[in-house]
Order: sequence, then structure tokens, then C-alpha cells
Amino acid sequence: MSTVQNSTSRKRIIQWSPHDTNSFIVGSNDIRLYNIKYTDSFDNGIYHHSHHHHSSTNRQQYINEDSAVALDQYSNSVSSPSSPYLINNKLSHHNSTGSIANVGKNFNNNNNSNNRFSLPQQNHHNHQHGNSNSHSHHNSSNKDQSNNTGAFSYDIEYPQDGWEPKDKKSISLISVNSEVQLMKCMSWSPDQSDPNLVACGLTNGRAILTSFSSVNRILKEFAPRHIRACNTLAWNPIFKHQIAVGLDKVRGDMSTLVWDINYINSFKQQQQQHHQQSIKGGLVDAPHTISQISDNSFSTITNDYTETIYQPLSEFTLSEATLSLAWLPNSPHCLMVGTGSKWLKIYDIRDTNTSQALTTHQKSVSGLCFDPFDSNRFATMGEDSLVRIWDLRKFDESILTINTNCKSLQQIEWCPTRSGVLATVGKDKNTIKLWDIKSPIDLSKSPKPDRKQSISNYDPNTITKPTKTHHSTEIIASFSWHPTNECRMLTVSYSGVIEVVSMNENIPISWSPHGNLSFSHGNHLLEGPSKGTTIEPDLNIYKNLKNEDGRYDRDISLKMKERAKFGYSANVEENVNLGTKINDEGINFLWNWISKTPGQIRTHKKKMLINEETQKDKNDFVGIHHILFDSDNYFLNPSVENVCGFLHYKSHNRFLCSSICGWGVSPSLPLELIISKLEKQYLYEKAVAMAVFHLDIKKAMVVLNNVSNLSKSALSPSLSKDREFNLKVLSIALAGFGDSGNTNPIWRETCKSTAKSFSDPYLKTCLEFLSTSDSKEIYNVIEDSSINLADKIALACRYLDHQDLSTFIDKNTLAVTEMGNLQGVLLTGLTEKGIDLLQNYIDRTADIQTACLAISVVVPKIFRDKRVSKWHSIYSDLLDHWSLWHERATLDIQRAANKAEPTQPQIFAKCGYCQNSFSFEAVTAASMVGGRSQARPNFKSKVPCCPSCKQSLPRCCLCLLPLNCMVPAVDYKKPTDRESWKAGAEPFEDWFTWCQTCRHGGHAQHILDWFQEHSVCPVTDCTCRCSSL
Amino acid sequence: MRVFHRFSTSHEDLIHDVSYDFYGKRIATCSSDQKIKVWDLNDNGEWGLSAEWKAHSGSVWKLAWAHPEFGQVIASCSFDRTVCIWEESEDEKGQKRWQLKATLVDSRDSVTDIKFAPKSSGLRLATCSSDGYIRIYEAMDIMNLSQWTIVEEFEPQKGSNNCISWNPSSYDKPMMAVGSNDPYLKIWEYNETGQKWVHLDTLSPVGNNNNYDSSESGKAIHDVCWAPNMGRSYHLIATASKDHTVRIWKLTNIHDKSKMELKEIMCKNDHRSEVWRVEWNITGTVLASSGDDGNVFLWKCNMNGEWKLLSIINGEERNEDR
Repeated sequence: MSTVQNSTSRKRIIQWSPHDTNSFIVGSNDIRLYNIKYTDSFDNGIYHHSHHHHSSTNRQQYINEDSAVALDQYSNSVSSPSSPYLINNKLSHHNSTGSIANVGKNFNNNNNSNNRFSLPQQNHHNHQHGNSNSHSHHNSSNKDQSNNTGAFSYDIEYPQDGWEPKDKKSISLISVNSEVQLMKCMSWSPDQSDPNLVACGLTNGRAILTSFSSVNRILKEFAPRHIRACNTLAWNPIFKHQIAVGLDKVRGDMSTLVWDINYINSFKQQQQQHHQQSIKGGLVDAPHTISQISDNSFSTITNDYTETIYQPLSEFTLSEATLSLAWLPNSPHCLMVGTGSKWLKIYDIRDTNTSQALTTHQKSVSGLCFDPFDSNRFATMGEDSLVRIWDLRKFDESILTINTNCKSLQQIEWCPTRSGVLATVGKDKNTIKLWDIKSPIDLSKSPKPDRKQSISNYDPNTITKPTKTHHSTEIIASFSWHPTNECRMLTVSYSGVIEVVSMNENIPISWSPHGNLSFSHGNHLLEGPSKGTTIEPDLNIYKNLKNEDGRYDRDISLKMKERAKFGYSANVEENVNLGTKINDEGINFLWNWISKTPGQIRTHKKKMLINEETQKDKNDFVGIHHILFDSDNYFLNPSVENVCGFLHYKSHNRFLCSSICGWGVSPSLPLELIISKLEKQYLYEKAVAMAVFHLDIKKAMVVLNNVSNLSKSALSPSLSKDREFNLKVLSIALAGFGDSGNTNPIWRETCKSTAKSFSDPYLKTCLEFLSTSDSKEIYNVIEDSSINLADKIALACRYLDHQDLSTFIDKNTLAVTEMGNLQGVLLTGLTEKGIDLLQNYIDRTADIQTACLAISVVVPKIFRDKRVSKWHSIYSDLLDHWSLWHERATLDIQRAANKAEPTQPQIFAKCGYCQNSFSFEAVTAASMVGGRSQARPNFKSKVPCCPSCKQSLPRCCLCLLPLNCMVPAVDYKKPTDRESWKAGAEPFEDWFTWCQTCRHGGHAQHILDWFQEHSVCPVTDCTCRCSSL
Repeated sequence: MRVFHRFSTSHEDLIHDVSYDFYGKRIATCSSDQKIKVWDLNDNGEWGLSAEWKAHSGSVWKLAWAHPEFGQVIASCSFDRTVCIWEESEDEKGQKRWQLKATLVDSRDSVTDIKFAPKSSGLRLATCSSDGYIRIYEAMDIMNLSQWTIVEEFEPQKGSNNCISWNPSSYDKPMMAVGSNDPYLKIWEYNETGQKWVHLDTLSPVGNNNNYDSSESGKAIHDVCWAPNMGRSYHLIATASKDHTVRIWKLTNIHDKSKMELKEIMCKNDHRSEVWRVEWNITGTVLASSGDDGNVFLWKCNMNGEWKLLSIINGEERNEDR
């Protein structure tokens, strides 16, 4: 068995099995049967067993045929200096070819192997091919993973940063048949009952039958009279026991022989039985049972001697070489022969004296094959660069020529899965070209032939441009289409490198509005994610994936659709209640702010005795920035109070701001209440900090005491040791603060350095705050602190003077706006600035829903903005895409309800004769004739004729009654009175409708009834097919 | 567990385009076998063939659904140099059938791409042809789809155009990105005053993929997709190119030409093969790209604003399927 890399440059032939889509054979000095299968991580590993490594830039997978045999070698090559996944694959290969006895062991190893590159895989495989799976799960601790069979998605993969593409296929050598030597051509038997039977033509002219099912030996031999090379052989696709063999030229002898493989029947039957046994035993399909295949126990059953047959069934083609052969797909007795002297002949094997013949190529017909999609169509190749396409029914002239632009051709083959697609490879070339023969024929029929092209030497029957070219890294000796997978092909190079080529010409993709993706693979369509699955990984299963950067979060389009479905709308109270479902901190903050703030601001305004009427600004959804600096009353200078050495600024505005931020300590909201609330939520740090920020050190000490008591009582959830310790440290620090303030510089320094060691932002800020000595320091502490924005602002409002406060607020307003941080609405409010913030929020998250809904509270009621109407129309369009009509209508109604002025009537009715519009007043006046309408609340203003010109109004074309035009203005006049809107509305049946094309119409119900049985307009002589429009 | 349901379309050749309709309830496919097939989602959530017909006398490259406001309308383009408009309508027996409404025959070469304009500009169709011209047709009477007139025509460059994509936002001037056999993506805009399309800018790739053919033809742009705007203040355009790269471009200040800025914000060659198509999801937050390796890659922007590979989907058949 040769393992030498440079022994090489032999002619090799590769061929997929027509029966088992995962097996193929490669023939050269011997025949080898390979199996191709997916490793379960389809992150592709380059599978290469030679001692040198191909650059991994190409995606294809290689196996070096020469060195792919010895098992020991695989183990040794683990130490080869290459990337880890290569090692990994070798292990995998080792396992798969190793003996069955290792299965259990390997399976256990799966969880222990410390493979750094392993990616999530499905256990599905583990169970099926336990021994083949050496890709391990990332964490050996995840033993329960093995129970999650099926939880992994095996058609989707989540690579991490820095991944390298690897091949997902692994090729394993199943069997080597070294009995066959000096081979020139080979072909799988088309007989399905014997899926591993292969015929080979040798250089001595003999054709042999061999099989991989048993011991690999030659079963039969067919010997010609004169020894010469065998060029080609072809199984009869119908009479599967016939095989035609094409030989080199010998003077006076025939070069085409047809053999019957059942020449001696008894032997064959025995053989057949044997094959069936082995198939049932799963030997053929199971790639791991190599040991059983080569088990010598079979040899006792098999007949040892090779039978040689000398009597062909039929022979013809005198004194010429036969270079190519093909059976006619429609007439199984006829064989087409391409000869060395440029003839193409058709013989009937029952009567070999007559033949049809014609000259085709310049020199010889070296290749011949029939189109699997059209039994009359076939292609030939000659020694020149041309491929000719022929039709049997028009035998004298080729219908199409392909100029392949290479010196001479090596092989041609029709694609078995795509009609009219031919693959060619030139001699000593590393490119495979695909040709679509459909294209030029159809072009000639196209409506406007291009003048430019017809003038030039454009020949409509010649193709010169391939539809696809594949470049291989090595010179291709032979290729083979996959019989069923339209995008796959195998090539083998002269040096024995096997390459799995994917021949995709295009993979179209489409997204549905629901986040489904569909794409094609060949002529298959893939659509998903199917029910119960998601495109994003389930992080509970894919435990080695880290979602640090939010990459695996559900996509916003899905979130928005889901939120719209459970009732996320412009209804503020409802949105606050939906908080848990919305499950987004920023959004929930936003809606809480929207629901509470206007009330607070209104109370404030009342307190400040600002007259609503005189105030220009009606917006109650303003931000702190506005309250402090833009509102009319900022001149109210704060009063200053010194508490324990800290300057506490007080003003109404500042108080309003801090109450918006959730502070606002007042008689109605004592500090105790705030603190005890926080304690109930176990937010002790925040509770302490709150007390400290209000400079109520005693309360802070009380809280700290409570904590230590609680942790002793063990009733509450125990705090972590760290947390408890930190709180204790704080209590010691606080004890040093005393009543007089932080006058002691040593204490201050200690506080500062202790603060640094706290990880909790509240504790840290707490100490830093206490250790400050002037307002500048306070500013810095607040600025650098990482506590909640609301607390920061409240703190700033309390302790910063006007100058610092305005710097602080300005700076932060800018920052939150740029960040698109929804909490920043505190500062900006729902104002123009707020729209800037929301714009940045959209830029960052694409969550147009929240932006659109939130801003609809103020727009267009209070002010207008171009961007908002754009958002609204985009969001409406999204709802359209999702067919969420009710949600869309709700949105429009809510927007309308928020409007300051009622919607103007959009539909007007006017008389067709005098063009006067039916205004409400006119209509009521005209219909008053009968009686005073006020007596009847449900009065409908129905008019039989135009109030101004008294012409009668159009009538229903079916019942011929007047349409009783009900003027829409009636309803719009009382937009607030919901009841009358409902009561006054006409039932749908009484509405009138008309065709947009012929303008005939009538009562909706009548028209509907009519079109249930008819498709033509009800008006006589009108042929308009209204219903189909 | 499979995330993607795989089914055979029985097309006799490669599928060249797949397209969901506006609501995601129907899929249309077209193939080199010259047929178009329409698939409907049934109540069980399965896709069933609803119609198929021979549409062209050459490979059908692309198809596009019109906005449902205009009815069930599909446009298709083909190697046979024509664009066909198909409409589903009921015949006398109440059977739904797809009827050929119009054939647009102005192209002198294979028509490589077609896209409907945003709904707000009416029923307009842009076609892109190998003869180098972009032609924009409009159905003047949307009740009668047999009448289409060329409203605008321009030649972005000599030679073949491969792909076009409209700016889907109706709040901007009509704009279009055009990809051709050279590596430069061109942005065109309709100039109201001049009443014609003018070249606005060219995006030239910066991140070079050195591993590959450096000739210009080796960098042909196979597909371009302009992301849905979603109210963002910027635009995203993705390209798929022959030089193995998927790129995302960011366009800012589109209204002010002096301040307009084009930036390449992602350039990835993870496909390690020619990239065929790119497609944005409905919010422009996930990009799908497909490559010659048979894989579909999904790209998503993380919280730091970097575009990262989310997942790889493989369409190839596995042994397990059988």
C-alpha cells in the first residue's frame, strides 16, 4: 500500500455510487471505496492526511488518496504541526475506522476530551454514531447535555469570533481492492440488487467484475481474443447484465464487445445470495464496520477461483478503435460507438451487420454521453476543443457546439439533476466548466434579437461562455457528479487529491416579515425557523456561547411583533402594566415616567399658581433640563441651608425635579417611607445611601443595624458575606461622621480610600460624598458615580449650585441623547430634545415601535415633528406587514384621540348635478320637512334628493331605491359623544358602494349578494367585471 | 433538530430566486427551468404548491412581488431579455390563475434584476440589464396592468449591470444602488429639477481581500440590498461580491450632498468563496448572505455597534434526512 506522496501522477478515475449517495470509488492502481459523511459540527475541518498541508484558503475538502490508508499513520499525524481542528478530525477518523470494541470508550471520551475548538453539536449524532464523534462538548460538566437529544440544531451553527471555516464532511476509506491492477476504466453496475458491483476495463483488454461486498477479489473476467487496452465500458441501463467494452484497434478484429455477465448462471446466483446477506447485515452502509468486511470468514463461502469468459454476446466495429460507448436510453438493444477514426455509429446488437454512422469530430470521438433529461439528446467530445450536442432524430447534423477553449478535452458529463447542464474538463487543466445548452436556443426566439450581435460573427449554435467555472488547486484527472445532490461533484487529481466541490451558481435568500428565512439549495427550498425553533441559539443548551455583546438577543423585529400582539400600544396605563411582558428596563422606565411625571408637573404648576390659560407651553411632558433652565420661573433663586457642612439648595423647581426622580421628601412622602420600600426590596445599599444623601446619618445607622439583625435572624434571604462585610465597614465609617460633619481630614482621607474598595456603586458614592469638602468635589463625585441616573440628578439638584447644576445637567442631557438612553427622558422629556434622544435610540436599536408609541403621547397633540410622522408611517407599515390590522387601527385611534382638534371630515358627498356638497346643515334643513328631529335621538338624516337642486340622488342599481345618502358629517360633528356615534352609525348593509371602474353601485348588501353569483356588473349592458377587481 | 424545513420544489434546475410576498404567507420561486412556482402557507404551517407555469423562454433570474395594494402581482425577468408582469385573478369558475399581463421587451440583453419601487411612488418597476441600462417602468393605470411605460432610463456604466436596490424609504428622493461587474457600487438619485437620474456617489471598497483575484472583474458585485430604514437617521447598504466579501456601507446625511458620508462599516470574507446574495430582514437589523460554499451566514450588530457573525445555516442534505 503506497503511502508515498510523490509516487504519483497516475490516471485516476472517480465515480459516485449510483445506489448509495455517500459512497464513491477511486480507481488507479487499485480501487478504493470511500464513504463521505458529515461530522456533526458542520464547521468544516480540512481533512487531509498527507504530510504536507494544503493552504486552507479553499473551502473544499481534501483527502490524499495515496496516504489515506494506514491507521497508524493517523495516530502519528496527531502531532503534526497544524491547527487543532485538524487533530480533531484525525481523532475522529481514527475512531470511525477503529474497531467496534472502542465504541464505548470513545463515547465516554467525548465529554472529557479537551478540544478547544469544539463548537456546539447535537447529540443526535452521538447516539447514532457514537464512535465517530470526537468533537467534544465544551464543558465536560454538562453531563445532562447528552439527554437533550435533538435540542441542538444541526443545520445551524453559532461560530464565535475568530472562527475558522472547516469542512464538515469527512471522507473515510472503507475498503481497498488491490486485486484490480492496470485499470483504464471502470463503471458501477446499474443493478440495484448488487450495489457494490463494479466493472473495470484493464490495459490488457480484459474486463473484470469485482465487488466490495465481500473479500475484494475479482469475480469474473471477460477476455478478448487479442490483447490491447480497454478504453471504455458501459453497462446496459435496461438489461443490466449486459456490458459493452470498447477496445483499442487491432487489424482484423472487432473492438467493441458486449458481454453477458450471467454467462454461467449458477455461480451468479450464489453470488447474489451472498450479496443480499451482506446488505442485510448492514455491511455496505455502515462505514465503521470495516473489520467485518475484511473478516476472512466470508472467504470460505465465496468461490475462490475467478471465472474467465471468452465468448462475448456480440461484437462489432472492425479494425477501428472504440473510444467511447453509450447505450441508447430508449432502445436497449442499440449501442452508440464513438471510434478512433472520427465515426459515430449506432449498432443494434441483435444485428451487428448494419449500422448508422456519421463523421463527427476532426479526429476521433473520445467521449459520448446521453442527456439524462432527454433520451434523444447526447453530447460528444473529440480530440479538439469542441463538444457537440446531437439529437438522435436529426442525426446528420449537430444541433449545438460548445467551444470549450482548451486544447483538448478529458471528460464530459451531463448533470444528472439539472436539465441541459453539461460539465467539461480539459486535459491537464484544473478547471471544471459548466455549460447550459438551453441558453442559446431560446435566445434566437427572443423578441428583439440584438443587432450588434447578429452583425458580428455570432453563431447562435455555438456556446463559448460557460455558465460557471470552478477552479481546482490541482490538475483534475476525473470528476463525477453526485447522482442526487445538484450542487455536489467530486474530483480527483493526478496526485490523488480528492476534492468535494460545491457547484452552487446562486443561493437566493428571502426574509419574511415574521423573521422567517427561506433560501434554496439546488432545487430544494429551505424555510425556517420552523415551529418551536429560533434562529438565535437557546443559551441554556448552547452553554459555551456567551452573549456578552447582545449578539444572541432576539431580533428586534420579533420583539416588536410580539409586543404589538400582546397589546403594547399608545395606552400609557396598559403599557405600565405590561412591564413584565415587555421585559426591557429602558422601555419600562420610559412608560413609568410618562404615566407619573405630567401629574407631578401639573401639581407643581398649580402650586406655583401658574395660570394654565396664560402659559404658552402646554406640554406637561417636559424634562428636568427644561424645568430647571427653560421654564419662565427659573429666576426663583434657591434658598441655601447648611446641613452638617453641606450646602443644601432648595427651590420649588429643584424639589419638582427630585420628586420626578423619585426623591422629593416631603410630609406626604417621608424619607422613612422611601427607605423602608427599598429595604423591602432588599436594596440595603441604596437605602443606606438614600439616608446618607439626605444627610440623615441616624437613619442610615438604623438601616445598617436592621441589616445585621436580619442576617442573624436568618429569616430574610441571607446576604453574601462580602455584602454584609461592606455594609459593616460603612457603618463604622458613618459612626465617624458624627453630628458636626466631616471636619476631620484624616477621616475624610480614610473614607476616600475605603470608598475605592467598594464595588457597589451606592456604597461607594455614599462614602465619597461624605468625604467631600467643597462643592467642586461633590460635583466630581456625582459626575463619576455609577449610580442610577435618576439618583444622580436628584443628588445634583440637592447639593450643586446653579452653575454646577447647569453644567451637570447640560453635560448629561447631551450624553444621554447621544447614547439614545431611554432613561434620559428624565432630562429631555418628550420634547424636541426628546425626539433627538428617541432618534438616537432608533439608530441604536431599530425599536421604532417604542419611539413611535411614546412620542404619540405628545405628537401631534402638542407639537409636530417631521420625524415623528415618518416613524408613524413606518410603524404602520410594519403592522401591515404583520397583518395586525386591529393593532394598527388602535394606533390610529389613539393618535386621533390625542389630537387637540378633532379630525376634519375626510369624505364629502356632493351632488352629481349641481356640484353642491351635502353639508350637514343643508341636509338637516331639507329633511326637517317631515318633523322636528330633536324628538328622536337616533335620527338619521336621509335625503332622497339633492337639497339644493332637488334632483334625485343615485339609486341602488339592484333595488332601485334611492341610496338615502347619509352624510358623514353628521357623525364627525360630535366626536366626543361616543354613544351617538355608535347609535347613529348605519349598519354596513345600508352603506353604499360602487365600482371604481364603471361607477355603478348600490347598497353594500345587495351588491355583495349579487356578486356571490355573478361576476359581471348588475347594470344592463355594462360588461365591467367589477368583482374581479 | 432541524431549524429549517427542507422541501423539494421539483424545479428541473437551479432555483435562481426566492421571494416572500408582503405578508410572508406566499413564496415565489423561479428557476433555470423557465418556470415560476408560487407556494402558499397552509393552516398547518406547511408550504404547498399553489401555482406553477412556464414563464419565459430562458432562465428566469429574479422575481419581485408588488405591494398587495396593487393586487397579487409578480414581475419576473429572464435571460430571454424580457420582463413579464403576472397577475393572479379569478376566472369565470372562480379558479385563481396567474395571467400574463404585460411583457416588457426593451432590453437588448439578459435582464438581470428587477425591483419594485417603494409603494409611495406608485406601481413602478426598475429593471437592470446586461446591456448596461436601468429602465424604470410605471403602470399608469393600476387597474389595468397591461399598460407599462418607460418613465426613466439611464446607463450607470458601459457594460453589464448585475443588481439594483431601491432606497426603500419613501421619505427620501427616489434613490437606487447599482452593482455591476466592477467593484464599485454606484448610488443614483432622481433629480426633481433635472427630471432625470443623476449619479450621486460611488462606493469603492476599502478593505481588500488579498487572498483573491485582484483584477476588477474578480470583484464583481453579485448583489446589493438597501436596508429598510426603520426611522434611522442613516442608511445601510449591503453588497455581496465575487471577491468573497460581504460588505455593509453606512450612508449618513443623505439629503445634503455636501455633508453626505459613505463609510464601509463591515467587510468580511468568512464565506471563503464567492458571495451570491445579501438580504436584510424587515428591520434592517439582521443581514443574511449566501455563498458558493452553500452556507447562509447571518450577521447582526452587537451592542457595541460592531457587525458580528450570528450564525451559519447549511442547506445541504444530510444523511439523517433520508
